[in-house]
Amino acid sequence: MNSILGIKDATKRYKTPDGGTITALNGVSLDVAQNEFVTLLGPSGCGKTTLLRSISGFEDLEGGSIEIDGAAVTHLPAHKRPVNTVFQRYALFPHLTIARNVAFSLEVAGTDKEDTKRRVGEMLELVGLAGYGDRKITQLSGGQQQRVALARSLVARPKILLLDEPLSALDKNLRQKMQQELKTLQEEVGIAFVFVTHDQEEALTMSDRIVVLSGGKIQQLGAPEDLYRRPENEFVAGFVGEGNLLDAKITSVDGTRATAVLNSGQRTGITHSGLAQNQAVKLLVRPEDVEVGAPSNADDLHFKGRVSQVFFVGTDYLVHVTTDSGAEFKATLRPSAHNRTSLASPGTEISLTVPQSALHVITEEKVV
Amino acid sequence: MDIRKSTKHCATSAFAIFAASAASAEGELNLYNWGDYINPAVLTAFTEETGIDVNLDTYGSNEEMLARIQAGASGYDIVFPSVHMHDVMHTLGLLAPTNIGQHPDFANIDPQFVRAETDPDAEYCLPYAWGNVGVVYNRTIVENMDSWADLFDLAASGERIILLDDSRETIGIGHIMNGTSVNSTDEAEVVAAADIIRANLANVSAFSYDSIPLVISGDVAAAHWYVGANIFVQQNPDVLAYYIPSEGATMYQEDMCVLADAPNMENAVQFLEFYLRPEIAALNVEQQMNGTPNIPAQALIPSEIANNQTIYPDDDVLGQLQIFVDLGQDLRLYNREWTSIRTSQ
Amino acid sequence: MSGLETNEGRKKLALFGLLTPPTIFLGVFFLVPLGIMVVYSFLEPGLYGGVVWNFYDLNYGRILGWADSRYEQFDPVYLIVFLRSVKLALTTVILSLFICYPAAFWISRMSDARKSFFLFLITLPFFVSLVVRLFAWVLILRPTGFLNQGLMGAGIISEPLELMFTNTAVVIGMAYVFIPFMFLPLYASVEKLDMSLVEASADLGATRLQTFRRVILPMTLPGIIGGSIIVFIPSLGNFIVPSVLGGSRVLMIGNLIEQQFLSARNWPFGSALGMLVMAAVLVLLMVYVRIMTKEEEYANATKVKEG
Ligand SMILES: Nc1ncnc2c1ncn2[C@@H]1O[C@H](COP(=O)(O)OP(=O)(O)OP(=O)(O)O)[C@@H](O)[C@H]1O
Ligand SMILES: [Mg+2]
Repeated sequence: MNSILGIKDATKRYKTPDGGTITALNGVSLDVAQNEFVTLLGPSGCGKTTLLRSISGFEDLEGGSIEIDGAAVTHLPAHKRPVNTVFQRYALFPHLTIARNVAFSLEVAGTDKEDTKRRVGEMLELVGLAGYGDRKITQLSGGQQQRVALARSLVARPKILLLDEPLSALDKNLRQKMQQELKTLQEEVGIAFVFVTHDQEEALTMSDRIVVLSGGKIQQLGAPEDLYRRPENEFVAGFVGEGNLLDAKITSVDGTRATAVLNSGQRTGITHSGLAQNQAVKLLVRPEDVEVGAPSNADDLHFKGRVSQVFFVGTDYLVHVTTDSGAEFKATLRPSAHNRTSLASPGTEISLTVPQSALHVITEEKVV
Repeated sequence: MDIRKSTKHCATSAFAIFAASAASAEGELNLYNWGDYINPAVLTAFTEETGIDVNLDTYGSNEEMLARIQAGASGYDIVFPSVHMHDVMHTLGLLAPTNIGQHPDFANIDPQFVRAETDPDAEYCLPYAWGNVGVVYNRTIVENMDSWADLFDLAASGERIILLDDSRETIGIGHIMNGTSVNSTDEAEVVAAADIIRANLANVSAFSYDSIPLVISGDVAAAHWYVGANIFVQQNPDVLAYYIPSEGATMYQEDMCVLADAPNMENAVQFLEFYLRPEIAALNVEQQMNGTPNIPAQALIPSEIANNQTIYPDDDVLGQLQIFVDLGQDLRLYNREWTSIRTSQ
Repeated sequence: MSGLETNEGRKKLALFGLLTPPTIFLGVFFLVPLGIMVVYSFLEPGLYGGVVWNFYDLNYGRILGWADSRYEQFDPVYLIVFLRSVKLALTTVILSLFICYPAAFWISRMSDARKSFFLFLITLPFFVSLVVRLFAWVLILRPTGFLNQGLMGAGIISEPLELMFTNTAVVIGMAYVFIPFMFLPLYASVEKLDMSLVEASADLGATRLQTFRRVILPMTLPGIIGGSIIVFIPSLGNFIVPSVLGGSRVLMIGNLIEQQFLSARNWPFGSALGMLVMAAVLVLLMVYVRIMTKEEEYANATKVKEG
């Protein structure tokens, strides 16, 4: 892998006003490849912004190192680092026109006037704002300001573009449009994007890889599919996507085949290596993997219950079921001719099956 | 002359109410005087005797007082203009006749102090107090001085001196050294007098009334000041000395006048009559350390004041003191020269 | 239906009601005295102060060049004093700016409690009489004063510095007196300065100096100009500081005007000199109003539009 950004063991603590300390980054290591779109995902306060600001040079690490394109930058001031940032609130200069905002990094670098003008023009064209150069910031909509911010931070061709929740100020429609535009833009300019969000859907749609952070530690690093299908721990499983986490105990092991008994009494066969007799595990079931009806295979997990709530979520119904053993269970059901009416009403008795292949075994809790 | 004795540049202008306890049934009396220019004990004595409440408001210069009276400041009964301002105010019709000159006790007043040309028989005002303007110096810096020439020599030798921030007093020094009248309206004489100041300007630290503390601390060696400096000389006899320069000096006199629109006319006249008494005039001098025109009073004042040659000089020195008269339009000659003095650096 | 009963009419009435107090305030405290000054400056001086109601152009003639008689002579000295006052006032502005600008940044980064404490400290001198405070400066600056004693004690100088009664003393005194006027508008615009803009600038490769010149300075310019004007105006017309700390050896236009109204008893000429100052002030106020309008624009711009 041709790494453009290498972070090793990054550690950062803050003092709190009451004299204590908060560990915002706790040994974070991460490599980002050229052209890669990497997303930092995690709940509020998990250290996303801190990590981003450490890369851009606004925070000094206490431990660890950062390399950009092979050069150590750990102690380089922000203005000397070949990275640019798109700030959450854009931070556009209100005293400058749009063209001068975009030209800022070129002007401070002493690029000649002709060249600057040409590149600013190209950049404005790229973000769809050709002809807006002489306007003031106040004369733009939120989405347009967003594009100016992008143009401003891309014009000097940084090696990495950092984006701190750039879409969170936009309404849902515009946000989805901008997500696609951003992705296209990233492919066009061909540089690494490190993107911060706490919106898991956004992360799943846009990223080549996702870094899930919690408590200043990386919980999992991987492609969106991996994270969704094969979360390594309970935290990631709960944070990324909807899911049912079922407590279970291993009763017998035979090579990679094992049998687990749920706390609610059901029995199921699973395929997983390295399990031990009597080990407590969690089983992740994604709602869309749940099927209606009795199992065709006796080893499959089977539930009976009563529909408690039904949500129409576009093409599908998200159904909450209270199982006979009293647990809550979520299932996504595709409406079809035979179940549209009968299923979509609370109180209905229902029988649910989860195929063995859809069960994902989680042995770790979340890392704090 | 802007300030008679005060060590403060700004005269306090709040009404200070004396003898507030006395019944106000007898009415009140509002004085408008220079800052620190009357012994508060005099006012207390008046209130005790008559039951009249006395309010005192103060000003810093004749012009300030005139401007406020002309601008319509009302409520004042008695003002204390210098002699030339007495004439001006009389001309402007601002004063009320009191016939104080007809009072039997007026015999106490030395007739040479009835100076105002517009009021030769003291029909209006009572001569109040007088003094001279000389030099106060720090004896630890310079041993002995007795002339204006000494003052400028001292300055030329590198010591700091301060002159009064007053066009006529300061240009007046030039007149005295040139032997011309301090009231001269001859342009050439005025320019020549101003030239004396200009010639010594490089050695003059400041034009200011607030020089006494700096002379006491030794930051300034000598300063052009009023006879009231004797109060500080008395407090710091080893450090300070005051003298009337041998070439001559100026003198000032203020008269006590009742305003034409005085609200308490009777009380005001009563105060003038009260002040004719020798023991009252003496009581004032005791604290003010200046001259009184009241002849029998001079026998009652403490001997160290009566015998102080700088306060009550001999007749030959007295004869050399000149008093300012109003110059009318020609005041502008002095203002022109004064501006020029103050702009040359 | 009468005008007042219509909606439009009521609005007008409300507007009038809103406008009236400031209008009256402006009228009484600014326009009326200004009007009196303008009229007086074209009248003949009264012998003992006041005015004689005859049209008279020699007051301006003395300043600008066409008066030539025994009593009314043109003298370039008035313009020279005016220019000298402008120079001293500008120096005062620069000195107070150099003190207040860093201080504003320093204080704006403090915790709220310390902030209010320092803001309180800055307004504290207002509770003591100006003249008393200026005399305290005489005590500090005189040859045997605290400053010279301190410097000599520390061995930095061997002879006392000649500070008392100099231009330097006047500038120090005026800067001291007017620092709160400089500080408050500066602080307001520094406080408003969005620190993310400063970070954005560094992020885009600007050095500290470039960030200062290209972002911080233009963003705080309204405060700088506002503070400068508010300090410049009273400095230009000041007469108390030059007479106390300058010992009247430093003559400013304010002293000349004071002299005309008091000892010289020439109110019209004093008014004419005053008009010189007023003209300068009016020009500056116009500049100020324009800048302030601009600042409002910036303030609106930093509030990012949602959606
Ligand atoms: N300047 C600071 N001083 C003290 N603590 C800080 C500071 N900045 C961040 N923190 C703390 O460090 C932790 C990580 O903060 P950070 O801003 O990186 O979170 P985040 O993941 O960006 O959260 P969000 O999604 O809310 O923006 C938080 O607990 C936060 O309170
Ligand atoms: Mg954040």
